[in-house]
Amino acid sequence: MNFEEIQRRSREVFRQEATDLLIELEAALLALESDVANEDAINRVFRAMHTLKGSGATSGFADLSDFVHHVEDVYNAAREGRLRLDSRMIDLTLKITDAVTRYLDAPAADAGAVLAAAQDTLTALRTCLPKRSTETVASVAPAPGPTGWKIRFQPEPNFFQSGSDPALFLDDLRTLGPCDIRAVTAGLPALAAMDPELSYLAWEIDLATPVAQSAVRDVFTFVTDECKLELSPHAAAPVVNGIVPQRWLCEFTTTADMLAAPGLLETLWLDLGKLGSYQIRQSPPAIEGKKSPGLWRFELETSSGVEAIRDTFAFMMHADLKISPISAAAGIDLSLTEPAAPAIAPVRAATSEQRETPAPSAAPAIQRQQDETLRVSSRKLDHLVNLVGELVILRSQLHDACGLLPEIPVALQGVAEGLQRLTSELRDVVLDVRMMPIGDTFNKFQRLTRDMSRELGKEVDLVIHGADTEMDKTVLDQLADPLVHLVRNCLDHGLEPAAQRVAAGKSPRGTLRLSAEQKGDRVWLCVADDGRGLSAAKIRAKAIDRGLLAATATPSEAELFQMIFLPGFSTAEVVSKVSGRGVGLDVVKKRIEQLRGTVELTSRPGQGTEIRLSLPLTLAIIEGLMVGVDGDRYIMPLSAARETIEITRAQRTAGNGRNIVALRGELVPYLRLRDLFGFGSESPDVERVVIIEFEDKRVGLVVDEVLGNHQTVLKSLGWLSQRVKIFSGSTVLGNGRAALIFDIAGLVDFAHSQQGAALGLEV
Amino acid sequence: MPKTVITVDDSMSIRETVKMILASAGYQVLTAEDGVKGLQICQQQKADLILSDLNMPNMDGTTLIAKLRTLPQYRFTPILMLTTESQEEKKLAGKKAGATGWIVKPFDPAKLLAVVQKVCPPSP
Repeated sequence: MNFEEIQRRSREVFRQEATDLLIELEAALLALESDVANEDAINRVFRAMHTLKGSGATSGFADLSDFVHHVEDVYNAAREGRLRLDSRMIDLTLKITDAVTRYLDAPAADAGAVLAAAQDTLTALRTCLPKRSTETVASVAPAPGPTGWKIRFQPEPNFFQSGSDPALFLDDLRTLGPCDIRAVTAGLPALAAMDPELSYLAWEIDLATPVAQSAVRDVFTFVTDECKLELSPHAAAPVVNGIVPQRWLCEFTTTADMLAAPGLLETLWLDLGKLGSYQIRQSPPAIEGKKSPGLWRFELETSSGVEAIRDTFAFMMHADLKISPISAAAGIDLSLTEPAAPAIAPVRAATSEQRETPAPSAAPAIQRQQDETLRVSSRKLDHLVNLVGELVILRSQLHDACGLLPEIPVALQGVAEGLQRLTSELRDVVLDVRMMPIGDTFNKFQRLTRDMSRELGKEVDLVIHGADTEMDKTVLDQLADPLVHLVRNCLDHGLEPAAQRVAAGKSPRGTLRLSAEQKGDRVWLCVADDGRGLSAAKIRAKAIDRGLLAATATPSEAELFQMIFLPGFSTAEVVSKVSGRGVGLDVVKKRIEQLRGTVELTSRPGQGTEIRLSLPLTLAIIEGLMVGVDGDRYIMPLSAARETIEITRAQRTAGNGRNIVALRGELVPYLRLRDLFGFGSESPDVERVVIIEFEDKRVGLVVDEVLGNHQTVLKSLGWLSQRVKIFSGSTVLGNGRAALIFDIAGLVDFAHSQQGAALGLEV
Repeated sequence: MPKTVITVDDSMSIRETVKMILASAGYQVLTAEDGVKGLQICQQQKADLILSDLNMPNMDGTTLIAKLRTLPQYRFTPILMLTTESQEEKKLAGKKAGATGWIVKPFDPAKLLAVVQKVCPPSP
């Protein structure tokens, strides 16, 4: 893998990481909002910004890193008690996290513009930072550059115990210029007295270099406290191996590609600083604070040769480097040539402002435990589920094939049973892998609730229950939009403004409740508010107004409430920009039903509204009831089927064309699948009616025979059949034949539109 | 036998990036997301070099380094701090705890590799 590939992969990983960090940031910021002194939350924000900065820069998002760096400063100040946060700062930070989200979503070409657009917000936040003391260390004019250094380097006896190796430092010194190195062995004890773990040697070095004393000391930064270091300038250039420092004029051109590589230029200056001392004579203008491509010109004095200079440009292939010697007569004053501090120098000298900052104590361990996790693309998981589905089908085929044998050998019996057990377990495990806690989905509503309640001028508490309830990722993904709609509706229409609430004798703060609970193979979600509740009278008036209800009709209250799920219905007196124009609840209901879910609503005037959604744990597997019609097999969701009864031809004809069957005194309309599908063959004398419950009503489906329970792996029908609404998918049976799976809602809709009226079906 | 480097960092992208860079140069790289797990891995497998972040949840880098130095097998192993900390105090605290040196984040891949190859030359 080359560095380019690494950089690309690194960017990918960073995007994933940043997405997680942004979720964490938002949660921490919202926690901070309710308690600005929450130290744990401040630390969490700081740490997330810190990671965005550090990892971002390393992964090639230098602009993002620069951007969030300032936010980190603010939270660092808060962490150290130098700054008291307030809600405005948190608000600004939330806006900044939004900008970062947009930045990560934007195509590379637009990403810069996203950050630029948020610059004002950042500036506003930065101005909150306490002013640092402006005192700076008076810059001392550096002494005239020496021509070389005499160095004595004596490691402390315990030098090796920090994992250090003196040879590394001697190697580093060699990069500064030609060296003459002599070991001082006087400290070595007699062999018998020697402790092999201690360091006894010292070194004396003559280094021919024009670099400043600080550059020489920099070599030993890691071991400042673990060695004695003496430096004295050489009056005249020490002649080491006969090489005398020389001055060079160098020119090179940076390209946009080079600027995109993080730290490339900084590394270059760092490396050049090691060769000798340089002075930049010309650089491309910075545009809007950013580096731009263009020509650089600098002078370098070094005792290393031209090749060493060229070597430092090894990573900048297209820099078009030109090097020419400068005669001594040109007279450049090297005393002014302290290298500019490179941005990523391995050592940053402590500035006065850093010194006055007290070192924070070791950050307290944050409680948020992370499970050991592995990221797998959901595409791979889908593939795995599919394969397991195939395996389940194959197992059924084996089962059926065994049934054809006159006698099953005992050995085969054992294998078949073992396979049966293993495939069941494998299927359960694979499906479990796709399960995700709903908490992440719920948590997104913290922000939505906060923003919307502000916009609407309401005070709302969001209460979440059952965040660890798990659901299939596919269901969760498709659930997000309908939930947003329901939550918006509660906030906008359900909850009253504080004044109205107080007038009604309620607390001024409204409560929005989101909860999840698993019951059997279904998950119940509940979105509830303690607002004004639905007004049956208003709904009735509106429904009549919209032509959805006859003026003379007398529906029950529950039926009236259901009407808000009809297309084009909106109860809000003022169409609000928040929850729209009544294109909502009907769409919500449709989406939930597509997920094989149901929607229930209860409401009490003055006390609030509760919407309950029931959803299958997973969409990949369906517990079905297999039925036969005209020799074909069909599967209907077992969860919808209530019971089966028989119907004779005589009973049918007695209905006088009205398809109604009596069920314990209740009249239940039924739908004959033979009629619906136009099968012409003779029906059996006694047919079966599967009673299904649909939208609180019972409907019968007449089939030839009921074949029993069948657990099935659902396969989608593909795009060719995407307009087919009466089937939700298909499956392959053990005998290799396909069976279609009914979509109950679609089936009843279809019957209603095609011939429901003719059949007397009222649903 | 390739040399083993253990990199401890709470940032996934740093862990992965370091891993890719060093693995491409023939090192065996193990990763851990905080000091506690880092210490565990270091005890299970002897590393030839440890790269550790400083600011981490559960156990910070300085504590990790101090603990490692008390283990006989890590008394002389190079440990580099890989950190965005610009504060001298933090680095000095890490040094005091027994770190060999530090690399400042963000790092250039080539630079990181060069430093690692220097303090822990790859197996021939």
